[in-house]
Amino acid sequence: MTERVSATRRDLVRLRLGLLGLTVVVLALSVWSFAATQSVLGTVRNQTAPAVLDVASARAALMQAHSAAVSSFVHQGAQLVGPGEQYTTDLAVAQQDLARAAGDNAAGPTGSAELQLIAGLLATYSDWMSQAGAHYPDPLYQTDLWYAARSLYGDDQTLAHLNTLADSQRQELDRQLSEGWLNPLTVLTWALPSLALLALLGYTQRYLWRKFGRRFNPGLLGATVLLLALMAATSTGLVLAGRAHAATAALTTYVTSSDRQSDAVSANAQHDLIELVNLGCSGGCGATVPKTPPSEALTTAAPSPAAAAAASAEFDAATDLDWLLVVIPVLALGIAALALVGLQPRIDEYRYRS
Amino acid sequence: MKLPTILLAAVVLASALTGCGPSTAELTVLGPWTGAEEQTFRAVFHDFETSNHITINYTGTPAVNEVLQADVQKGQPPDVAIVASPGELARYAAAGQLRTISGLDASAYSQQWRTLLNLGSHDNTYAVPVKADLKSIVWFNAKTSPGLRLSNWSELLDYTAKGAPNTWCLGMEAYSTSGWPGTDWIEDLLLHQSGPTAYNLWADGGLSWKSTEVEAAWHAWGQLLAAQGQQAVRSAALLTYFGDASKQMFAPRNRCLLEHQGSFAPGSYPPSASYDFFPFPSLNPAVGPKTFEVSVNLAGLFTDNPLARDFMTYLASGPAQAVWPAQQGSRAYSVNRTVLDAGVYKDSVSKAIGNALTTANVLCLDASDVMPAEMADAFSRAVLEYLGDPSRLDTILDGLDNVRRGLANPPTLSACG
Repeated sequence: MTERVSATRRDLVRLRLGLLGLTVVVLALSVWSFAATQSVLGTVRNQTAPAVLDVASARAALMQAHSAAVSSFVHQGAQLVGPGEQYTTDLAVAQQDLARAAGDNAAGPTGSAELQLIAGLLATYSDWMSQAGAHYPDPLYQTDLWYAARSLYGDDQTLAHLNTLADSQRQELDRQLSEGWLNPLTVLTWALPSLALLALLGYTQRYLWRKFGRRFNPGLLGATVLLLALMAATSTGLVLAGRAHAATAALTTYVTSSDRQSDAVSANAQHDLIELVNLGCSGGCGATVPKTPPSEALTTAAPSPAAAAAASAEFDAATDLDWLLVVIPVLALGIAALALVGLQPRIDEYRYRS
Repeated sequence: MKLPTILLAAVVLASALTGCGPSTAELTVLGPWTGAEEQTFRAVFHDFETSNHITINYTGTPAVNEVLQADVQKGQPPDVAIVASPGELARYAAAGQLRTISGLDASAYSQQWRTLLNLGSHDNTYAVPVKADLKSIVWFNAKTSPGLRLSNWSELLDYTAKGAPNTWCLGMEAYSTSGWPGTDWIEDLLLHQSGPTAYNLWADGGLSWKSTEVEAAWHAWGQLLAAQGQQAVRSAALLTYFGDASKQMFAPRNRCLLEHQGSFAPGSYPPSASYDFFPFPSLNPAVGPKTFEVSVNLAGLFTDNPLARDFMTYLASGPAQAVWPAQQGSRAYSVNRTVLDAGVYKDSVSKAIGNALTTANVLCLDASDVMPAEMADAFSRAVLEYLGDPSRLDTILDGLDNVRRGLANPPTLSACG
């Protein structure tokens, strides 16, 4: 009799140890997983997504600036204002966007190097544009204007590096949303111990039923309910990741639309510039200046700033459940407490019997 | 477990966690090469890394001068920096920020190069050449003009007039440095008309832009341009990218015949092109043959790190110098004689360039690479202004002289060796 009593007590102690131990593991991994997911999403919201927007905005502003400058020279407003006020404003906007992109830069040293290079190339561009303004109406202004355009569109020049920078920021955004704690497989790190705890709670419930003939232990039942609530709370990380993916899709749509529109503005400016240069050199234009391309109607409208704001708001929505970081430990403590409440009287009972 | 064992285990664990294990030696190197050129440069120093069990942290940037200046001002220079402007290195040497180097194999470098590597000092070596380009040469299509040689100025003028308006492949556009192909013309004309002494003095800021020698060089270029044609030739030159001008030598239509360009020019030619070169002719019998302008990437030592010193010796050695020229399709050349002797150059054109770089009687650094950046920039702009309106030459040269006078006294660097 004493041996059977002592074996049951030993089992109960082991079950208590298992339940408490697994609860600690579940607590640690759930908090870690949720906090890490929140941290990544916070980085995406505060840095990576804004950097993507900054670069797209800089590109659009730069194309607008170039278009305004070309227009000023083509329509001879340069006589009084050089490249013009609109050019100056748009160029300043582009430079501010790039400064913000440098602050938000998520693409590491590669992004920093690109940003440094682009800053230098923009200085070259604005320098040639200033020269064009200074030379106007001397025919040499056309050469300066052409050089400015070449420093934008030439191989390995400003636009190429802006595109490289935009690609690297986008790749970083995609990487952050698909790797590390946002990789769906990382769910297993907290889900497996939680399922193990769930199974142990069920086993303990069954053990107590067999040993003591009581179908349900209210303490363990409560712990099971709390565990299910904890699993639900932790799995909201997946919901938040889903929101971040939706926000990224909205961001991509906005950026693609913005790039398409700035490409159209840019193509029209190039058309006007090449026509101007070809008129100036009248046949002796050399091997680099192309024949005037056909004019294109500007059919693409600029995307609404509201679309960018909507994408940003979706990123905000992906990080608005911070309070769950408090709820998860409270639930875990509740599980531990209820497991003790459920088991301790039985253990005490056996201590009394032995 | 005894206490000492526990303490030992704790120390080992702490070391592992804090990363305080034995560190690998590192060298920092700054240079101008990125992309494919960076990979080739990495191949140059790979053997040094493996044989010395060190890591070289190479940073490549087109803005190498600006980055180097910022690093030096912060007191955190790289161990070694490689620049294309000997004038920049000379300014660091004069300011005591560049270390002298030793161990250069004198027999592998001609006296001319040993002088140039002193960067203006009498007997201290301050730089190691990583790769060089030969200038003062004229390229032509060897298929249409086999064996072409124009050995004096009048022959060059006659040939230009006969081939007008397509004799010279002219392109001045080069993005931020537009105008430099024209500066090479002025430099070559000055060197081959007034000689290395005048060239040296002018490059170093000691000769006025309004001097007879410098004005004569501009006038000679104007004479050549006029022989090719008038306004249309100059307009086309201004609007053409120098690499596109190169390609015109092998174009099906409006093919040009000659190109005044450095030894890197064939890099722009079609792969199947057949080409050759002849030295830029002398305009003055007093200027001897085998007088060339060169451009060079120089490595300078900025710290007292012994490994960096070893690295400089390695860079100057024959095996390291041979790596870049030996690459498939490479247009890089070494000024180390052992590279030429080892048969690294496979075709006759490359051998001739390698030979000129190592055995020339007079070698002068590209003056634009010696001048302070402001002067070199103004020089490039002056070329563009001149092509726009040659009648403004007086005003243009006045402007250049104003820039020259406004510069702080630059260190004296011998541009010719």
